[in-house]
Amino acid sequence: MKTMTALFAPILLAGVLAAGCATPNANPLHADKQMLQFIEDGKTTKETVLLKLGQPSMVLEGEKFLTYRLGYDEKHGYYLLDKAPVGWMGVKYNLVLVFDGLGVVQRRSLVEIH
Amino acid sequence: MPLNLASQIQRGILAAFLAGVVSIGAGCLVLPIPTNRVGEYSRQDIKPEVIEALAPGRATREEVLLRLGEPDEFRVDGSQYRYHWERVKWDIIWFVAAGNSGAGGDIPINKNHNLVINFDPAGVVSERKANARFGASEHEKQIRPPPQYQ
Repeated sequence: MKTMTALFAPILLAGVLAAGCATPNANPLHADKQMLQFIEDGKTTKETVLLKLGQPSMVLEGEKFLTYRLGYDEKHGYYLLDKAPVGWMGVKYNLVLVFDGLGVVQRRSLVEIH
Repeated sequence: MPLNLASQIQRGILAAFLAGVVSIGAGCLVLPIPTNRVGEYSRQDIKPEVIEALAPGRATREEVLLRLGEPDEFRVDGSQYRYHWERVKWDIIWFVAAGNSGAGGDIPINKNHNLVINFDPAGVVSERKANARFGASEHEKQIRPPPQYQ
């Protein structure tokens, strides 16, 4: 399963990037407090992350690191933001995901930007 | 001595007030207001203690990313990350009146901060440089690029 993920995640990522604006919840109206609860170190695959969160704001070192910019609403929770054309306006958190060679989340952090 | 100081401060305030009144009378007002707010488009997560923790020879690229988040700029080969943030140090409020019309605005004076982190081929921090200088907002430049001359 993990080998399959390692094979298909790059293809999926390429597809997501090609789709450009494929961020499923890029709107405060789609805010969700449970949005990040599906991510578990050592279990969650890159494929699952891409399917649930869509296009990352940054891809580094091949695909070892994916980052997402998130807004946060006290009442409704997290929502995804497209990479802002200017700076960090509206960004509350930056989700950093570290994957191993098989495309499984190894470490993560939610960096508070504002 | 304290009385003299108080007296000097009072004179300074009076002079500033008179200068304001005179400039309003002349149809213009320029009022510099000291502030220290974070720039509108800037990140706020780069704290001195975080920079200190990323010691050369020990911290890895992974740790840098996990602590600071995505860089504002990076070299494709991963050898350098740059983090950028801004603080507005002064707001220059200006107003000009002429006849029945007038104009005014706020010119923010920014201090641009950069943290440049270099990595060795093994992905370990080899050098970190922090600098700050007054200048135009980097983010503002993105919104309003300088005019192109032909």
